[in-house]
Amino acid sequence: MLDHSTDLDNIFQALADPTRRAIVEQLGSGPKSVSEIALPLDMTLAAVVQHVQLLENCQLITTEKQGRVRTCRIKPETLKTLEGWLNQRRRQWEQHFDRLAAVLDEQSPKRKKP
Amino acid sequence: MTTTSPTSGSFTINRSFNHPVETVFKAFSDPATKTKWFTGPMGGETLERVIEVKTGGAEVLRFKHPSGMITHFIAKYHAVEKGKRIVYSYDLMIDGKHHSTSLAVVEFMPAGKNTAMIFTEHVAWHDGTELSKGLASREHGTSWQFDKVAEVLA
Repeated sequence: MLDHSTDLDNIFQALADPTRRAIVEQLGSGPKSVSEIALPLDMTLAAVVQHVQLLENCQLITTEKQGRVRTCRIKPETLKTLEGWLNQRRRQWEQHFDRLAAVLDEQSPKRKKP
Repeated sequence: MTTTSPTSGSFTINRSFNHPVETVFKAFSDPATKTKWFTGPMGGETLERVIEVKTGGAEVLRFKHPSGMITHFIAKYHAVEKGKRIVYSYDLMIDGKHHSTSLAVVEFMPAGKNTAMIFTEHVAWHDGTELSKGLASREHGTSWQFDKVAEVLA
């Protein structure tokens, strides 16, 4: 269980960084290894490991090492606590509407006829 | 955002789309178009899909997420007013458990050649043990912060 005064501060601090937000977003679609996380990021593996450690320290993600591979997954409890059920639901709809906007643009691109 | 009770709450999303009302409404009512944007996350699998957007119609989306979680969306359309408004209710099952029941209202308004959409939902949670443990009041106090985080995460 989270201690709310200090841990929330840590969580917000962790998420203030765009790279760490990108990592959390990546893990939103399922568990990934550290090297998979690093793939779209323009930085060294060592730097990615540091970000991952920080995210793990504030309980946003958990990691598990099997052989040479460290697998990271999101800790849904923390995100749930963080956002509350209502904001989680709102976020799902925001994502749907983002996709809707993209579908609409694809269907009728704003193109001027010659 | 307002939290109205320990186990239920409402929220409203305002969006504008750079397309006329008819096009935006069709994206909600035409099965082929709706399937494109109202689905589960990438890498998941659609297990069951029904879309029948008309007054008295139904919609079902049973979806297996990449994590293995299965969500089951079961909706009933109470009022479908072409180009204006859609009123529906839905149940959400997560891994076979009854998670929530919602009433949703989608309103469409022309704004020049564009569309303003207002989406309002009231959700009642059935397995809201976390809510009853005080999450709702906690959320209330820091809602502005949470809204920000939700924004950046979205």
